[in-house]
Amino acid sequence: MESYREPMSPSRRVVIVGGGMAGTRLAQQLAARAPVPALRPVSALRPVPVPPPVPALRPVPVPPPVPVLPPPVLVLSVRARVPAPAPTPTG
Amino acid sequence: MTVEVTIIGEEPHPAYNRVLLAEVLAGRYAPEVIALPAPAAGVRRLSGVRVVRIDRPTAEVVCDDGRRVPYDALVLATGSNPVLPPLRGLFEPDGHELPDGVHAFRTMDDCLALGAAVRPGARAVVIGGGLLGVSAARALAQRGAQVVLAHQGEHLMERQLDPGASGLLLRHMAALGVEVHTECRVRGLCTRTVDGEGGGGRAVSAVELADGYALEADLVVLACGVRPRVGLARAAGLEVARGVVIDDELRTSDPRVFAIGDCAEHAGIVYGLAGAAQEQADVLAHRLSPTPPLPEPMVLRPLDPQEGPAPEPAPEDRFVGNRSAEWAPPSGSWGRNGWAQTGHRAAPGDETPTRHTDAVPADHPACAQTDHRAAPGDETVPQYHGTRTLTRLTLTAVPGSAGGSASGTDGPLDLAAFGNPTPAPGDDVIHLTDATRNTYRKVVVRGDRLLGGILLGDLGTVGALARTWESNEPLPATPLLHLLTNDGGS
Repeated sequence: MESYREPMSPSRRVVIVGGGMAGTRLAQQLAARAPVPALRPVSALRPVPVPPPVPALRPVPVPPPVPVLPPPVLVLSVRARVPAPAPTPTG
Repeated sequence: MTVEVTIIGEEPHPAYNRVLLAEVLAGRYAPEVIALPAPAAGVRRLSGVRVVRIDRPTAEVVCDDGRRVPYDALVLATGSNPVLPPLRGLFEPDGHELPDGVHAFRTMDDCLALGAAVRPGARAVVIGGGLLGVSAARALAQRGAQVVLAHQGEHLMERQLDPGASGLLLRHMAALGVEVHTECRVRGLCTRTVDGEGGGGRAVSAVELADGYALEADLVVLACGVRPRVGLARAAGLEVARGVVIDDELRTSDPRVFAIGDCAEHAGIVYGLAGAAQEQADVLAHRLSPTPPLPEPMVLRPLDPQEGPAPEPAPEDRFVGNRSAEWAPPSGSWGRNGWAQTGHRAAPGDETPTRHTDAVPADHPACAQTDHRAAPGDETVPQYHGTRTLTRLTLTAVPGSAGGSASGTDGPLDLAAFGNPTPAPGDDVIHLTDATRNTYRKVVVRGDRLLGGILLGDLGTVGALARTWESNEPLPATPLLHLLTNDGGS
């Protein structure tokens, strides 16, 4: 199989189909690892609305303290080895 | 050289952490809370746009609005679709619309629609008792619905839990007010005609069971797993099995086309897991970056031949299903580049977060660590050799419950599972149950290696176990310590 090693143009165009976690992660990593050119108007591409900024995280309610439990009344510990199957008689 | 990155997504929403969708459904988080950090300013993002065709000869993708986007490298990260079971009444003849009240649970739109439909006292039936179904049922219960979970299998979360752990989970679900029916096959849906815009529609009224009983329902959630989205790849002539087939360089059968995430199949495995998807994305970013930065320090290990040729996973085991219910920390646990670690909330005594929180395929030769070693003759190119991850889930308490009674059934329940918890002949099984605290711990050991395990109720040891599992390190001479102490016996 031919390996993708040589760039096709001075600016490599990577298109990711899928805007979920994997695609977004890849875009982030690529942007972090390689120089990304400034966006320029491309006639074939329509302007994309800028998503609103993500608001600050809501505070997470602190759960009530877990009551101290009494000592265990039963702790069952079993260690078992699964037996090997009995050898099949030969002859 | 620079990289022009264009990301094309169908969903109009900003990217989000689908691991936390159940928390949005439960009302614990607003949708924007689980949004992922926006891509860097230089990344072009086309939202609400669907790619309808890959034109490989011209190296372009064709979008539903007619535009053509050229590429030098194309990455398919198309994800997966929910499986819609063949239920009588689910669709009308030649119809494609689900009845009102019937929802899949895969996307933010699914989640928002379901959240808008649920009311206190609503009768909800969740079909499917896997990780997703359990999470959805818990979330609906938190919203005040009367929830019945119908599961065809013998016990809940069969892919992650054994019967003992599942029994404990079932007790917990019952304490949350969820009525669970196992070995319960659903035959069809009953619908009624409702008035609607543009004519009458259908709304679900009951779920028919195979034994003749019917469960009245205002809402039905289909949580029957997912299937990789491979239509684009197949139509483009790429090799497709269950998923888009990729090699260790994440290439498809076309060297200019790559695939990652839920749609990809590597070494016969479709992971369907956030952790694996992120690991694949990281490796591919290395590969596609023309000027990779200094390599990160990595722990390398060869595959252990003593692991032996693990059995080929059954087809149904290869795909772990919809992972919308995977647990991930909601805040305060952002990893590098602002990404949420999809795994490991630090447990008490676990100061070293590890990487993932996903479901795990059984032990498989491909489940070595992602290998960032240079390939022979290639000093810079990393490869992907599979992912070892673990499933974590926290079932939070329903408001109004005691939040931690002595029985432990009405507070939150933590759960973790990894590897293969089913022992083979000759394996050691170490099993600890604390009836007071409602905890369950089990690990399976083969030789000096950890093969799999289940923790329920108390994840104090999950850090040590996860590190051992992920690195495939030899166990101490007394592996029982892994279960008894929070520091792994060290």
